[in-house]
Amino acid sequence: MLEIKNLHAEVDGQPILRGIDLTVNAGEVHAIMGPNGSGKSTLSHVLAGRDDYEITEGSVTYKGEDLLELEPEDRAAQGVFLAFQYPIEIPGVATMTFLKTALNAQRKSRGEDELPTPEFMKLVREKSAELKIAQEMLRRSINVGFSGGEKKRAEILQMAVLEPFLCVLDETDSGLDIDALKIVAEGVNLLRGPDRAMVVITHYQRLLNYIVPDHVHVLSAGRIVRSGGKELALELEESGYAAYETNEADAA
Amino acid sequence: MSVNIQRSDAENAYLDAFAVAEDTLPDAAWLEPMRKAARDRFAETGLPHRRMEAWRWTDLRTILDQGFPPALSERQEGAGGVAQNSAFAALDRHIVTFVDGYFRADLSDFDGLAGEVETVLLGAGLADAPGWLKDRFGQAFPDAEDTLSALNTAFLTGGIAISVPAGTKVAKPIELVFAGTGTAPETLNTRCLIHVAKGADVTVLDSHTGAGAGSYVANNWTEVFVEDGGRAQHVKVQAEAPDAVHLANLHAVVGAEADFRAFCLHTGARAARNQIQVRLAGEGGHANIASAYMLSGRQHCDTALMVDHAVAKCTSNELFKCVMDDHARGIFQGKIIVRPDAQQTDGMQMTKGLLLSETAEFDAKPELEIFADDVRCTHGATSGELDEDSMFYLRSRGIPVDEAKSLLIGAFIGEAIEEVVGDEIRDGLTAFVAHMRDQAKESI
Repeated sequence: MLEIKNLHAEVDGQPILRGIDLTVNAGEVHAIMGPNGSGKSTLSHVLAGRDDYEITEGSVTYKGEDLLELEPEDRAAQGVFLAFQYPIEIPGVATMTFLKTALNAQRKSRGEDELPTPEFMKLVREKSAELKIAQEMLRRSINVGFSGGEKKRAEILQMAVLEPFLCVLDETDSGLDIDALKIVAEGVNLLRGPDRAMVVITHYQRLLNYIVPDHVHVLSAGRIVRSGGKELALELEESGYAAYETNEADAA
Repeated sequence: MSVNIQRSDAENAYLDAFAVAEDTLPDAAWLEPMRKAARDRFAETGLPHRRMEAWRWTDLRTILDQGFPPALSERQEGAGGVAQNSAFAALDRHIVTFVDGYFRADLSDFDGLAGEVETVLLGAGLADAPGWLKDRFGQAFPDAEDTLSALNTAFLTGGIAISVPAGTKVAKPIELVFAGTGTAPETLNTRCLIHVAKGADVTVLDSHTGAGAGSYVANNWTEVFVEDGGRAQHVKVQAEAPDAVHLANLHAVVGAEADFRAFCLHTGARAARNQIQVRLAGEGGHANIASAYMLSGRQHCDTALMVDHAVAKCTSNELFKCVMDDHARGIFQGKIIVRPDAQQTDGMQMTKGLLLSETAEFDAKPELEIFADDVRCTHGATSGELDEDSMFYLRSRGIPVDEAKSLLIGAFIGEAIEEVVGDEIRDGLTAFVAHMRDQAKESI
């Protein structure tokens, strides 16, 4: 579903991604782990279409099409979803309104009919119950007054409502305690399926106890330096990223 | 040595109309001295221009680029259906309509107010004005030397005075519709006086609207007197015709433990000048002034606000959210005066400009004159563009650029609308803002 080939990206003239190769098929869960500064967030933002980054080399193909050509809203309509590490607050835009506008904008873009309000409300009620998100929270402005855990759960709720094909979770576990982590992981696991691919970006191994990956990659200094199965995550937990940091020194 | 001042076409149109007005306007002996003083003042000062500090961003002498003689004859036609287009059309309210400066009984419906409040129509009704009206007419800020109010007094043709008896909570809002057809380039001088007796409560909705494409000048003067323990809310939508000029004075005097709230949404007119003066004259009084601008093209909107904390323990809150696109220009001048005896004053002023284009402009001039020492007075003014992170977040969820902008602009203006009391009134304003935004997009 997703093919990243030799991707190089820089911001303000500073190279961050230095040749990423990654293939993610439908139904698979890939974990990307790495130390701070390795390029994890850059990768997720490049996939989502943030224009602060300049692609200097390489390609990203999604469902056979050039992803980098598409505007962020078109990527979303094609089923790409990025769960942000720091979901921002937008005062004055109610969460419910936002969800409905987003879903219907995507449906319209795909040539589908808009979802009528009663069906939409039912869908949201179902999904928010699964994530233990109170209805009252949905009446509030996007992420305003939400705790860290609530913000992450709200990201997963958006994922559940929008039903994307490619889910990129950018350090979804950062700032969460164990209980919040479990709820978020449950929500993500409910969305796993043969038609869906997930890229779980994380610094810590802990999340991967709950969202068990099929493949684990180590990102260091803008390159994937090692790939393996889920045991690789446990190995990293033991040894840390030190062994891979020499790459960063070389690249600097 | 006398100097011959060159008067502009607009100024001459007013000067020439004084004699006509004296003949045409209904006689009202008690009003004559005021009318004469007004004529004399205008003859001396003419129209405000940009060398006057308070008018530095709004050169009215230049803006009125032709003669707009005062409307002095009734035109009993046109503007049918104007109340249906109002932002408050969905509300159950009383309606009083004025078209081209004159009262229109056929477009009004306020019989239900009889028995609840006393009303006097300020056309023919001026002659037999009751005591409560004569005592207050032009008296909120009698020393304010203002050209707009002088013209209004000299040429007033239509308006309404409302007196709410002590303890009465008026059940439904009262909408005053002031429509200009633009049939002829005229100045429409209208007036409103609201007297809220002790403990009474009223909401007045003010819809200024264009009912045609022509050019006109709307000059409105509203005075609100809120006695001790009373509550008055004034919610205004300024949606004049695109080529019109909107001039307005809003004066309020607030008694002890009384509450005055004013909100104004500016979306119309090529140039608007809104002058708001509030005096907190009784301890424990409260004033809340909020405004939203939605300007595009070459629109110009200038609010000059003055809140006077004359006595102790009063609170005031000001919130201005101004959106400017294309070459539009929004201006806010906000003065807060805290007199020497006004201890334990709490005043807050916040102005935010949202610039949607490189050529839009926002000017904010806060002014604080604080003479007491046990005072809290905070003010802030910011100006910026649509938040990039917010835009990206919305787009990353599939919301296209235009819709994302609309959501953010709606949220921005929504903060000012939140200051209005009354769910239905807020809903009407929110829907009106969305409607104006849709219209703006279509016209591109």
